[in-house]
Amino acid sequence: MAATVIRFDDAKNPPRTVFVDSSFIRALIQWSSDPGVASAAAAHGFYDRAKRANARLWTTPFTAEEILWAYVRRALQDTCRTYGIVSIGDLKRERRGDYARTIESCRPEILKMITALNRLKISFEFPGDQAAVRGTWGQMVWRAASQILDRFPIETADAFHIACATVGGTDHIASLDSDFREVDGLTIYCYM
Amino acid sequence: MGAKERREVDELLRSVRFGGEFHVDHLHEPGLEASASELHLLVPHHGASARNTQRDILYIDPDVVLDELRAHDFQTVLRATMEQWSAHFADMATQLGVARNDALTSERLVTLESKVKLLEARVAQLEQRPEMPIRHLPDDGDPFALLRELKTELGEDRFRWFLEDE
Repeated sequence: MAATVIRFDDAKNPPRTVFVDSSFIRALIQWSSDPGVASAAAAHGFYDRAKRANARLWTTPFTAEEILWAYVRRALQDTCRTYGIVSIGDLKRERRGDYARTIESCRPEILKMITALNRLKISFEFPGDQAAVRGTWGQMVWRAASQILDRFPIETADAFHIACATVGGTDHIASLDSDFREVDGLTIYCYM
Repeated sequence: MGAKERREVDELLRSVRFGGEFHVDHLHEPGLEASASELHLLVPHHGASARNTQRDILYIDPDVVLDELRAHDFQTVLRATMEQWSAHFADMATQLGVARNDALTSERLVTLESKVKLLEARVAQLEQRPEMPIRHLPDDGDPFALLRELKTELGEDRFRWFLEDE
């Protein structure tokens, strides 16, 4: 049995808590500059309804890292091309100074993007961050991710995202990534 | 007074002192003086005589407390001292016209049932989602404005770097 799938446009009453992944946040970023893109508009519509209904949108800091790293990675790849280097790993080994300068040059945009992400009022936290009592949250995420990877053919990063969501008490996930649909017990809010 | 005794007194004073000196120059009821003299915990300030009824500061004399400690156990002295201070505060509140809470009656005591009812009421209130506290947060404008600003700074191509998938 696969996950329950609900299209963004059909979710007139968003759940009280939704875990969002990086594809959903990317769609929101895209909407800010290009609202005509259908998938971005659908994601923004869902986001807007969720905020109006006081739903809690949350994800882990690793989701933000995926978005920020994409920018830095692209800058590093540009530097690689400049020097005819194949991979970022080679750039790091052969031209350490240029590698560091490239990362340094990305810092202003990265910091501004972090501020912009915070303005979206999506909570970036790990499971248990707001728990009243101390718990073994890390171990629970580790076990849940292991079980998910054991049962479903999905990427490890997705397994850990799902594990964080479920351990954090959420099985509603907003994503434009179809991989999440493999996992039963989840309710996936998506574009198509 | 020996060092050990001094330590005991310091410890006691730390327990009963309410953040320093307590001005009671408006407290001159005969009853108050009588109750104060019973415990010998009220002594005049600035070296004035113990019989000076014009005392302006209420504080605790370490030597008197030590005498009390010799005669009674620590808990007795502490309890008596606290009762004494409580009476002073009550009288001061009366003189100042400050309404004083009545002692808790059995009806006013918060029982488990009433706590449950309060929690249920709170949950019902929170269920009214449009009235949750976040609705009252100041609106800080368009949450996407900074993203648009960043796009203007970076240009279309570089801004799209953030949108690249794994």
